Amino acid sequence: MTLHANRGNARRTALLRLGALCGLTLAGDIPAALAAARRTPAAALLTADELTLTGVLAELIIPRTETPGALDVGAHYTIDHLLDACARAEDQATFRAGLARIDTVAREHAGKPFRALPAVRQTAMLRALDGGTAPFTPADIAAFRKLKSYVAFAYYTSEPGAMRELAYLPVPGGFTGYVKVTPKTRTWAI
Amino acid sequence: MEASFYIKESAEQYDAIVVGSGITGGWAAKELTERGLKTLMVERGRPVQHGVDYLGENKDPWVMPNRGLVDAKVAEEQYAIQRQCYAFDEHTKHFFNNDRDMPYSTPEGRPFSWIRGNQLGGKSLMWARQSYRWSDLDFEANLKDGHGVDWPIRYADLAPWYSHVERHVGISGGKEGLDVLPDGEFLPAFDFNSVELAMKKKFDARHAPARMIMGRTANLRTATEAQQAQGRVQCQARHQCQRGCSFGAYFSTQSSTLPPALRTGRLRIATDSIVHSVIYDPKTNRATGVRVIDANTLATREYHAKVVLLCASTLASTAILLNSTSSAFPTGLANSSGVLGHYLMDHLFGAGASGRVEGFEDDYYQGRRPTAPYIPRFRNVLERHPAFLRGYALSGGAGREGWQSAASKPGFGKDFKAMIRKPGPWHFSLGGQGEMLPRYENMVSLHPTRKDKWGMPLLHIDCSYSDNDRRMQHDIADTAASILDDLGVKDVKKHVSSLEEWPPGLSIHEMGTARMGRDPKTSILNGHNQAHDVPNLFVTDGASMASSAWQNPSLTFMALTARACAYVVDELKAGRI
Repeated sequence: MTLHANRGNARRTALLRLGALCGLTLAGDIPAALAAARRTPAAALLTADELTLTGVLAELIIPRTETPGALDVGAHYTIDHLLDACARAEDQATFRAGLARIDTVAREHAGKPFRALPAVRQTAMLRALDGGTAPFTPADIAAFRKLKSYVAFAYYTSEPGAMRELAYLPVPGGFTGYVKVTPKTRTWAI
Repeated sequence: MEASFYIKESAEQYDAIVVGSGITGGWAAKELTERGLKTLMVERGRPVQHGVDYLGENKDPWVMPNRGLVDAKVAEEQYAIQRQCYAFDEHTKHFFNNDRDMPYSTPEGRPFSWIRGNQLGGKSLMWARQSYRWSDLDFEANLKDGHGVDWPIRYADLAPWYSHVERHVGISGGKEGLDVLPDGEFLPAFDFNSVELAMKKKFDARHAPARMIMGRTANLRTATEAQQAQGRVQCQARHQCQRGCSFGAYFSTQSSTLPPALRTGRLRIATDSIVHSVIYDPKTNRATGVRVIDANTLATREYHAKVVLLCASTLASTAILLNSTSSAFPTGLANSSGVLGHYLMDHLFGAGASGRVEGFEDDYYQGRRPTAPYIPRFRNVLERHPAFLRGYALSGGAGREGWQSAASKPGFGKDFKAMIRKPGPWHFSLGGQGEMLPRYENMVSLHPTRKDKWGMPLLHIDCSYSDNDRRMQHDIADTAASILDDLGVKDVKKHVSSLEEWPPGLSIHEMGTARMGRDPKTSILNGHNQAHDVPNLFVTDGASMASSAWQNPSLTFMALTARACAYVVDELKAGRI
């Protein structure tokens, strides 16, 4: 129980830090994120630092626009939970190694962990990571794609991701083989 | 009130016992009760009530604890085999057999994936619903090339029974006039999308007489009065079929065969009742009932009837016969021929090709269609293929990329999010479904020492692909790729699954092991699914199949069952069984 409580506190601290780092309006987002934290089982996989980095990366990959972003939907908590509950040990290790690699490169080249870099620097580093260019290498691409797939899964299977960002029809009523794509058309969430 | 048809202990002498409640068990219950027989359905799993017990239905991904994914530990420890099935997820896992409780064995290096349901309704709740008639190309195949024994029936024997079951089930599909795939009593077919329609026009023109058709499926594109009377309405295109469908829009025991059977007042159901063996009376040479182990208490009991029908699924029905030994039948009931357990088949899946389709940017679709385009068999129909016997169908179709493939694309941030918001490029894929030859060495037996927690011997399954099967799989991939190239599909990639990726069994079309045939010396059942050796014993599920053909087999199982049940009633009335 003690361990769980501590982990819970660590998570809240991480979350508050995260909100500040990403420039979120605390009033709107932190209560929602804390609510998400309460839904999240205590015995998840990632450390507080790993969770924070996952959140920063998730928001950079799918940012808030006129619709919610990855952080708004608690994508990092979903990822943490899914890694813990549903991933194989080797996939968990790959994911964490990917996070560690990003921080290692950030420290080597900018002297700080990734989450502490200015936004412009973070974006530049991710662009290099996405393309496998210096200071990253092509060998880093696979782990980043895996991270992107986790972020996309967590975001687009969330209610805002499915219903506000994409189009979601739980009961279509029938199948229509042709509908015209208009400027308003969005990808089906499922 | 609801539960009044469930029984446990019963001293009653029933007219018929039906073992199993899936596609064939449900049909047997309906046909026998409607024809006046007091019938007991015996099911090893728990009760599942239509609608009420569809726990995963109507659940959005975000309300599921794992967004639809299954807990890794649970999957590993309890569903090591079932997890391989495409339909196994967090919404459906309660409909799959628990592999820890119900293990089976295979030889080292020869895997077999036995996918099972374990509840009232069986696999009828999670089946893929594709429904096709066979033709005489299939019923004559064994006779013509000498693999397997000749079927004791031909298409003409089954045609009226196909019609009988189709009118009740509701099969959506188009009339095509094809010799290899006879037409039936169809509801309107589901639509093609724009890309599929364009591809179909090209394919039909270039590859005649082969044709691309819409897959025939047991989902109601529209509902007739017959289906409305079962309490069913048209398909809502949710594509959640395997979670159970409260609309009754696809055929299952719960939606379609159980309601009319229960309305007769002649059906009783014993759930949580594992059939240990069929009781056999050597003095009369008749089956007199079944011995049952209670799934929860391990208590034993017996049920008695004038006739016994095994509809427990291909391998479970055969396992029951193998476990029903006596001095008259030391190797299994009705096994004077010695072929019980042999000639196991599945279908050859896991090979195909896919690629990208350019253009059609302004075209999309709405709803999740419960079926897909289908190219019926063209190999070894008019010309003889040099590399293999028999043939295959191709199925697949087109769709636009969604968020699921976004991670493999470069980018992140606002532009990345905006890109995913718009429907992605079109893709077209084709995968094969091939006929597996019936071979004596593909077989099941009872494990000599290992038993499950109910004390039942484990089934030992020894099955492998033949050279003919492997050559066909390669032709499937090559031909699918060349068809796609020819249709203008770009970046075509072909694939043939390894044994580990697609072991036998995983197509979930296991057939044979108590085959029909003309000669009691080489087959278990006659042309009415009646045991040659024991006249009041019938097996009407996939175990009875003498060949696998290339079509999905469930509609044929239904037609065989309905036909056998009519025969059972006639024979009972005539006093011959």
